[in-house]
Amino acid sequence: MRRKIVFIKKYDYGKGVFDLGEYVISYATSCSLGCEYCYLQFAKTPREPVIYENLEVLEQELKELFLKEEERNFYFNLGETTDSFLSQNHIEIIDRIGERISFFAERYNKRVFLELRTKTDNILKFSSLNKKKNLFYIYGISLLPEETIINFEKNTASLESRIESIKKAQELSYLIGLRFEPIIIYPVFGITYEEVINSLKNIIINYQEIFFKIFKILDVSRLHSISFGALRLTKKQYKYLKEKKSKLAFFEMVLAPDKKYRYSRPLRVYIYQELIKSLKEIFGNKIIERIYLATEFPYIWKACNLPLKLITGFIDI
Amino acid sequence: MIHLTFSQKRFIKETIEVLSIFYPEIESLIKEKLAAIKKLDKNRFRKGEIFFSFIFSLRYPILSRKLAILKNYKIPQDLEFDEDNFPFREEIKNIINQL
Repeated sequence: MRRKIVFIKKYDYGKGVFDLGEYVISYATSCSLGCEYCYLQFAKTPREPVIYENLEVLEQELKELFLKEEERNFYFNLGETTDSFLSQNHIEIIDRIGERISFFAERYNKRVFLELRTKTDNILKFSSLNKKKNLFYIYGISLLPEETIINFEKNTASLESRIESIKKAQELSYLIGLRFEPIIIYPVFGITYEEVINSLKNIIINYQEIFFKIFKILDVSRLHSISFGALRLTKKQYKYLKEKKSKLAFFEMVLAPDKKYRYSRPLRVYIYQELIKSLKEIFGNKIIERIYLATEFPYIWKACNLPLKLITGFIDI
Repeated sequence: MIHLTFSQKRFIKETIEVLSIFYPEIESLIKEKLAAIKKLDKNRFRKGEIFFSFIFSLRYPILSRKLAILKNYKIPQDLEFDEDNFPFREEIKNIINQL
């Protein structure tokens, strides 16, 4: 299919949210994984996954972008409008996109990071991507507790398989992006203050277990970054989920300045602070240099003692 | 009788909808509380305030506690703001950034 609008867009973070400086390439849309919180269900996209073949338009956009922007490093997210590893066809088109990016990156002396974000373990069975000049692939694996995956991400890979897939990505020389997004407050033990606190403590324990599992298999020299991002819902999504009686329509959610429903500030800050503390205990203090908050406000970064940092500034290669 | 504004009534309705997802008995709990408030020896506006405050604390168990502590400060009620822009930064930052 031909894409009729632009391929490359600056990521739209929302009003007041810290701009990480990432671009999105919409080479495909829709996803069959069926995650309950996914914005794609509410976007005007085709029902079935579609791949856009008119890469000559993308080439032109790349050329213009590299000529216009003075920065040397670029970060493209290839998992925003679809899952990057949804099918073998997705990987094949990504390989073709990579060829074009590499060509222009070399010509204009740029360094490009391509994040392939996934909730699958398809890297274990799909053919691998060829290495290219001036181009670094990042395997952005979304990680959540198994109970959350079972309840809200029905057609995706299990946590164990996702962790297994990190090993494979390392073997294939990908950089690794650990994406703890979205962080969902689940299970919820009740509606009182004490029950909410207990629910949060339980979530932190669940994530600590994931950190320990990753610690055993991760080659830290290949780690690009670690991101945390709590669940965000558009007004439309929140209304829909509430009517559907989904447990994602949590009661302590506020309409934040970006017009998205988010867990209230004390909850978000507590979760981020505790997870960062746990990572430091397991991986050492230097891990802080690899952590960023996805789609959060600068005052939340500050509350978590994280310096604001562009996504292109995470690794020195 | 108790007095509630239109937006308060809408908020209460939505709160029952959302909380019933996690606690199916919420409607009867709220009805019991409402009956108790109606019996209080207060005017209907005060009764409305007490009832709404009860609902708000159910809907926002954490946030409502924070706002109670911060009631003397003029700050956005959703706590979504940069404390550095307020003169009383040091006094509030630990309250808004902790459980």
